[in-house]
Order: sequence, then C-alpha cells, then structure tokens
Amino acid sequence: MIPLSSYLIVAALMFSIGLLGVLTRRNAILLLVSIELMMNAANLNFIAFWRYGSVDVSAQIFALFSIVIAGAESAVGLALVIAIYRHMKSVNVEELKSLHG
Amino acid sequence: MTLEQIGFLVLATVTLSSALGAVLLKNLTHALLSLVLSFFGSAGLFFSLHAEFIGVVQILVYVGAIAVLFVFAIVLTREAQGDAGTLRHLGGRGKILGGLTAVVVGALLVRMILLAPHKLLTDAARAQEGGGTVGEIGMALMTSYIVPFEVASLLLTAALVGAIVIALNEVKPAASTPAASSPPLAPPIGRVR
Amino acid sequence: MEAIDQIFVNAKSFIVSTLESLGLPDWLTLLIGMVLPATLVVIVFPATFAFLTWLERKILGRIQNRYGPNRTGPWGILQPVADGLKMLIKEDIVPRAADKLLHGLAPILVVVPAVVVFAFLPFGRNMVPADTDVALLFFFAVSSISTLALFMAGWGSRNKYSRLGAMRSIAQMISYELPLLLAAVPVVMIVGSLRLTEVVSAQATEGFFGSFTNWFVFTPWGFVGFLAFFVAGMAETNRSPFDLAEGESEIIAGFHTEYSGFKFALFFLAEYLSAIAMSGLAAVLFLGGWNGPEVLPSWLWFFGKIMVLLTIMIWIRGTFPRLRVDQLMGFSWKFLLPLSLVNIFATGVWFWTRASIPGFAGKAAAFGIAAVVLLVTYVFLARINAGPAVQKRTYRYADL
Repeated sequence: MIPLSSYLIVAALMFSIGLLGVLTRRNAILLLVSIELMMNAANLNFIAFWRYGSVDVSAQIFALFSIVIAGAESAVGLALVIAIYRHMKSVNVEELKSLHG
Repeated sequence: MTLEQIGFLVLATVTLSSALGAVLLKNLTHALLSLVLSFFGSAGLFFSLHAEFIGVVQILVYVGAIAVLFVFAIVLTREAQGDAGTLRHLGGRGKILGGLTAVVVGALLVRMILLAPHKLLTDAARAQEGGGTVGEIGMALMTSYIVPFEVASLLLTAALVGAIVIALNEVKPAASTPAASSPPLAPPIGRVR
Repeated sequence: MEAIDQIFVNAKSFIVSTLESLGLPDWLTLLIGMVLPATLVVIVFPATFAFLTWLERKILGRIQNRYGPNRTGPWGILQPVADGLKMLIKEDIVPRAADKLLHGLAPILVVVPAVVVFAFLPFGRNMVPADTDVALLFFFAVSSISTLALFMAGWGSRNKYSRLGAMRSIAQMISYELPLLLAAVPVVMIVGSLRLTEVVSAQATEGFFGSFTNWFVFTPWGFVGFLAFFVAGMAETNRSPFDLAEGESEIIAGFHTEYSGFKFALFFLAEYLSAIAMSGLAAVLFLGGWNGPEVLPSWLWFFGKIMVLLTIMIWIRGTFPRLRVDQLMGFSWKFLLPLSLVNIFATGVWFWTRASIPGFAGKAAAFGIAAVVLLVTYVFLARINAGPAVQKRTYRYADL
C-alpha cells in the first residue's frame, strides 16, 4: 500500500517545478504552462486527500471545478498572449515593460 | 515491492521528469509535449487513486482542449524556436534567485510532509474503498453543488466570449483599392422568389 | 447457439484455468488473462483494416464506373498484401530540416489512440476487454489525443503544406469533437450510465422482436443523434468528404506530405482503424451493439453492423465532393452543434412524456412531440445555413 505522504510529496515536487518555471522562464506561453503544472499539483492533492480522508465526493467536485477554471484561465491567458504578440511582436516577458514605473 | 508500488513509482517518475522537461526544455514545442506527458502521468496517478472520472476528465480537458489551446498560441506567435545557448533561455538576472526560491519552497514542503505527526499521512491502510462513482458525482453536482455548477458555466461563457474578443483579428475595412471598389460584373444572385 | 456465442469467453477461461492448474504464479495468469483479449483485438481489427482497404477500392472503383484492383489474385483480394509490402519496402526519407522528435513520434502517437479505443467496445455478450465505469468518456478522451498527434506530424515536417494541413486538421477535429460528444449525451441520459455494456443491454428486451425493436436509432432523438454522431465521426477521423487536411488534390498530401514508407502506412492504418472504431461506437450507442435475433452469434451481429456502417462511409466517400474549409467549420458550428443541443432537449421531452402518460398513448405522444421538435429545428437550421438559391437558368439552343 502506498501512504498518503507519497502522493503529497509528488504533488509538492510538481508544485515547486511549476514555481521554478514561473520564476525563470521568459516566454509568456511557458509561464502559462508552468501555472498549469501548479494547478495540476493542487488537483493531485485534492484527490489524494479524498481517497485517504473523506467519505463523500466533495473533493472530487472541487478538483473538477479546478480543472474547469484552469481551462477558462488558460483560454483567456493565451488570448491575451496572442493579442500582446500582435502589438509588441514579442512574447518575451522581459520586453513587455511599458507599464514599468 | 508490490506491483502497486512499482506502478506508483513509474507514474511519479514519468510525471515529475516530464514536468521538469516542460520547464527546462529550450524548444517550445518539445516543452509543450513534455507538459502533455506530465498530464498523462498525473491522470495515471488519479487512476491509481481510484478517481477514474477525474482522470478521464483530466485527459479530456487538459490534453484534448488546453494543450490544443497552447498549440494554437504557439502557432500564432511563431516562437517555435527557442533561443540558442545553454540555459540562457531561462530568464536573465532572476534565474539564480528564481531557481533558489523554487528549490527552497520544494524542500520546505517535502520536509513539512515528512515530519508531520498526523497518522493520516503515514498510515497506508486508511485508504477508503469504493465511493466516488460517476453516479455519485453527478448527483452531487446536481443537488448540493448546483450553484457552483451554474456559476462555472457562466464563467466559461464569459471566458469564451472574452477570449474570442481579445484574440480577434481586427480586419481593417478595405480602403479605396481598385479591386474592392470596382462594380460587380454580374447582378448579385438572390433568392428566386 | 449459446456455445458459439460464448466461444471466445469460454476459450479464454479454459486457457486461464489450465494455466492456473499448471501452477504458474498469480500475477502471470492475471497478465495472460489480460493479454489474450488484447491479442485477439490486435489480430482481428488490423485484418478488418486490410479487408476494408480492398473493399473500399473495389466499391469506389465500381461507383466510378471502373473495376477496382483485379490483378492481384482473384477479384484483387491480395491487393492489401501488395500494398503492405510496398509500404514496408519503400525508403524512409526524413527531410533534413525536420524536427526529428516530432516527425518520428507523430505516426506512433496517431496509431496508439486508434488501437487503444478498441479496448472499450463490447464485441459480444460478455466480451469487453476493459469494462470500466467511464468507458464512453474514456473513448472520447483517448481519441482526442490524435488531434495533437496530427499537429505534431504537420509541424515537425517543416513544410508549408504540412503545416497548413496540420492547422486545418486541428481546427476540424476540435470543432467536430463537440457535436460528437453531444450526440452521445442523450444515450447516456436515457441509459443512466457511461458503461458501454449497460448501453447495449438497455437496447434489448425479451423475445425475438425484442432484440431489435428497442434500438435507440428507432426513436426520434436516437435517429438524429445517430446521424449527427456518424457525420461528426467521419469528420473526426478525416474521412472524405471531410478530408481537407490530407486533401490529395489541394495541398499535396497535407500533414503527411513528408512521410514515406512505414510511417505513411501507420497514418493510413490509424485513419482506417479510427473509422472502424467510430463505426463500432455508433453501433454500440445507437444500433444496439451486439443485439440481434438469435440466429447469429452476438459478435457476428456486431461485426456485421460495423461492416454495414463502413460500407456506408465508403459510399459517402465516392459520392460527395470534398467540403471547403469554411463550409466544413460552418457545418459543424452552425448546424450540427445547435442540432445536437436541441436533440438533448428533445430527449428530455421524450423521456418525461413517456413517464407521465402511461401506456401506448404515452409512447406515441413522446415519439410525436420529440419528432416535431427535431423536425422544426432541422428545417430552421437548414434554412438559416442555406446559401443563396441557384438562379433559374434559361437555356438557349442554337437555331439551325
């Protein structure tokens, strides 16, 4: 049998890998990719706790809605990236500093 | 080493290494495919946790829809070639600090999980059997969670309309080009009634 | 008849029990028990694919007023063997600028979903390789992987025509996924489960006539759903007249321009296997699966239904011209999608009318109301989507 902590460790590692991507990648699309990784890690946490802790399906409903919201967020985020590319001709987040104070 | 543990190790390795690939690879398309592989890995982890419905929804939504969205974004921004050089693509000044932060956060989380004295985390026999069938999820969605369900559908509609409006290609009205303003050569075909 | 019907099930349990009595370890018998149905699927369906390529060329040839292949063996029956041999011995040319990972991985990733989905189809009574609770959803999830694989094929080839074909194919496949899923939703509503074995058993009742009068295709929502599912399934698997992505006369060969030899054979295999799988799912969802009068075993009924649907696909291929890309997308978004949504509503109406008015009057009223709703929607959508009417033509003949 596999203890719950193994799943939580996998989720934590995936979260920190996503965090690494968000902090170091310059391409805006890959930023969104890393954000998806972090949300995936959170979903894994939900489902692991459902299996080992609770007796009703609330955790699965939560994970379902999390997947739905991740989809909506990546759709709008990628639309923004495409619109930015059309204006600035670049998706490098270090070059998008026209609001820089 | 039971079969279950071997399966879990394989799935965890695939998920984590492809997540690492998605974050570190230079070529954009390769990074995206590595992300897709990590989605499959985590869907496999969902199946091993007996949450089949969420696993299948993960494949359907993440791989079938979100990955395709990323593909379209890559195609429409033409950045299929990362820049050359070893790890130079990984951000400018902030890459050492960013990497350090991520490593520290990961280490803290893992240490917190390993040292937690809660019996839930270490007792493998606490896994509950059964439950979570599709029927139960459907019933819960339609009775207890009907309000979040409707709000989620509103959210999706708003995201759909918003994404289309933001990414719409504004076609400028044709100026006085000769081709556009010449009279049509034949009377327009209309409904014969 | 019972013995012939369950011949494969009995053979498998016989083999597994002999292996157990021989003292093999537990996990090995389990593994062999899982591998046996998979082996049968892997043998039978590529053989069906080979037969299908021959059948298609013969039928298309006759539709086009010519013989099909008739030199390789009697009636050209050895043509698939010749085709396979040709594709295997052709030189595998990879363009120098191609992305080796994407270019090489794409054919494999296209074939894998096409083969894996056969694990969820019930071939006969008690004959499902994988009987899971979410089988229908699994089917659609796995077949949505081929969208990404086609993109990889086109993008990795670094060729204008391939990229164009890849973009078109992704747009087409994601826009037809929606009507495909929505056309299957009424079936799930009425059956109450995503398990495909339950879908099949819900379409049969007692008696000789019970085995084919309860099929969902004979209800109004089932009929419309079957048509929508069949058309969307043909578009999902890039069959004519929806094969714009690989249109042979327009963009050279679309996303598989740069593939030769065995990799091209894999694309070919994947397209036909997906077509067979879609026909199989259409038969399971709407045509009663393996149900049929007891004169033939159940797996023969299933096979026969798949063959009939495939022949209809080949017939449609030989009859209609290829759709243009804007016509294709317009057809999906402006016609099939609203029709599928109204179909779900009509299913609800049908069910509740049946439940509230008991007896035959309830069934007739349900049929009538649902049929009227669907007919009105169809006419409305057809009128909206109709292009300008053809002008009345006047012919002038030369005066002698």
